[in-house]
Amino acid sequence: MVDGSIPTETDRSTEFLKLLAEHDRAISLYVYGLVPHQADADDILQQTKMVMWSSFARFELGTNFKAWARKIAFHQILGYRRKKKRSHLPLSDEMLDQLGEEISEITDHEHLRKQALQSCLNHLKDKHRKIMLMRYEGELEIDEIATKMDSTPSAIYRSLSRLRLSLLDCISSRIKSETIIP
Amino acid sequence: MSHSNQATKARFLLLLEQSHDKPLNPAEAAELSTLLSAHPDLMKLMAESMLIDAEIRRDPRLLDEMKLTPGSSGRPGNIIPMIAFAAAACVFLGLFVFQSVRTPVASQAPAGVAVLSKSTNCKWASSTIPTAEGSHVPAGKLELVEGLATIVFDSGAEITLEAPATLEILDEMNARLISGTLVADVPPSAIGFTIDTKDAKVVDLGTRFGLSTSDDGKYLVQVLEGLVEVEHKGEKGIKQVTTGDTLDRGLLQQRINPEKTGAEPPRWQPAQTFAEANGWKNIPTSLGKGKDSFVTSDPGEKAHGSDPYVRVKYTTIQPNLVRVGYLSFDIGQIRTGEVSDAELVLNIEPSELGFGSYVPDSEFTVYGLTDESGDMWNEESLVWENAPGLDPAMETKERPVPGKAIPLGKFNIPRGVQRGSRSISGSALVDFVKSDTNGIVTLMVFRETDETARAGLVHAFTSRENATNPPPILRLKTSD
Repeated sequence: MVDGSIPTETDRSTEFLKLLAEHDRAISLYVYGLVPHQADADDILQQTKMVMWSSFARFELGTNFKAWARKIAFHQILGYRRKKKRSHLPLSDEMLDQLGEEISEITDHEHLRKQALQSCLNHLKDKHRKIMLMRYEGELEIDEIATKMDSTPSAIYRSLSRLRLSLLDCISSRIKSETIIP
Repeated sequence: MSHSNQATKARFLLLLEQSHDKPLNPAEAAELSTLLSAHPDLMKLMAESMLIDAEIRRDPRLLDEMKLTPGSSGRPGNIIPMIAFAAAACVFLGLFVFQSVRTPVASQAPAGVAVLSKSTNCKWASSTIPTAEGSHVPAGKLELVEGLATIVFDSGAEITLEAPATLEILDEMNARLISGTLVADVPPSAIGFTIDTKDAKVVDLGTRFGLSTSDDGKYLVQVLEGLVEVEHKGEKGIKQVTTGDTLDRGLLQQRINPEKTGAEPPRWQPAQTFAEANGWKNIPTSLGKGKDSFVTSDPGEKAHGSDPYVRVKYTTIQPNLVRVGYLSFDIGQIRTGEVSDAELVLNIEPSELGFGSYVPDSEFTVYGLTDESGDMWNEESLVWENAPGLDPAMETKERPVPGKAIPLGKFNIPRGVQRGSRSISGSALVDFVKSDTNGIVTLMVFRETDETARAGLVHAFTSRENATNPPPILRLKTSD
């Protein structure tokens, strides 16, 4: 059965890929933001994309693709949280939903955030840089960072949370000062 | 309910930080919830904090950039560099490119760190720095599609990049191999020269070595002469690899067999599953009742079970030349209930059929045959008319008959790429393998991308009959 008014499979797949590419950043940031564990987040992303593809026929072109994608992703995340008990955010489903809303709000409206983050990272103190690199690039455990920094795990946690707070302050001041430019 | 002060914020972020590593104890979890309900502004703080991690995980170049910037001992947040204003201005002019490749770290022209000294039959793609022979190039990304290119770093380290490969030059002592193969020659002046891959850091201690990596993180280091240190990210300890040794983390494991020296085996024909470390088993289509072939949508076309390639194509221009790949894997020896991860690996071969220029970047979807009665297809007789999951009367030829198969994953082959490997993985594939009841799983490979003109490229993947390169492999991870 082929109805002339229905776009061909290829058109649909192209349209899908186009929309996916356009909103990939927003969708990944949403999932990464809600799922701290990298491998799990990647699985959820793939699964989300599969579900999006298989139900793309029901997606009405012209409506909000990003919101639709996030909704699907959120359901995948909920499913994953139920399946796996380990290492997900200590929030109720409702609070997680709220967090997702906040993340979407920020991602959609503060386009300079990544630039601001880069600039603030570049101005980190040497000690904080080291910790950042060990935590994010080397993916070291807190104990290992503590050993390397000749410190204790709880002190490293304190440093990390202070580091985060100063990064966040820095980012908001950057964004504020930049948006006042006409 | 109130606004949180700095101390509350710090405490909240501390708890959050800890929760990333291990579940909070009940008291801490309760404290976190209480803080959140008492101070609604913490939710936004949490979102902002999670987004820092999300941005870095999505684009690790943020950290590379930080490493390249001279350290600051002052408190962050006071200086607004010109570059930030420039970026802001661009946004308001509407000229801002959303995913800009790399923010310059200084306002003057970036300094060169390496010379592109020799290029042989080179074709470059999406490179961010000059690719003309003799260029003194700054930090940036080079994507080599065809040929060989030699890059001499200012430190003296020399790299020969073999296409297809993507290399990011970080500075005169550091580079990142995103995917592909290179050979490095490091003189004493450049001892400590480091090449990063997704999963490894290779530090050279004065040597000549080869390094190959796929973008999913697998890699192989082969030392021709000297000594290198390899650090596998996320694992403790450093491995030393010396002259003649090979360290293989999943890549080309099938092709390079260190026990066998001397003559190359005439063909790659494993008789059993290859068990890797950490529970992975490699099941090629050549194992047991495995088989591979393809069918063409042309009535009267012969069976292709003994061809050295599995050919795949989609076209609406010549509807009788659509080709669909069929792969069956014998998983009878695997306890499917214990499968926790799965990956299908296909090896792309240059195809002698069709013009690459007429086929854009191509998307492929792998489907799993859910109708198990179809698993018994025969290589000698499989044609479009009797192929399981297809219906000769079907109008659309870019996917199976609904209800007979389910999509398991997609992969992409950019236009013109005729080498390399592709894989799919994820829970859809795991779930499909787990649901098997007869010891055989059949996968169908469809291209979804149409050609733009008649006689476009037919993509080819090596089959089990191929004499030089590995057949399709299903990798399964079991918990034992």
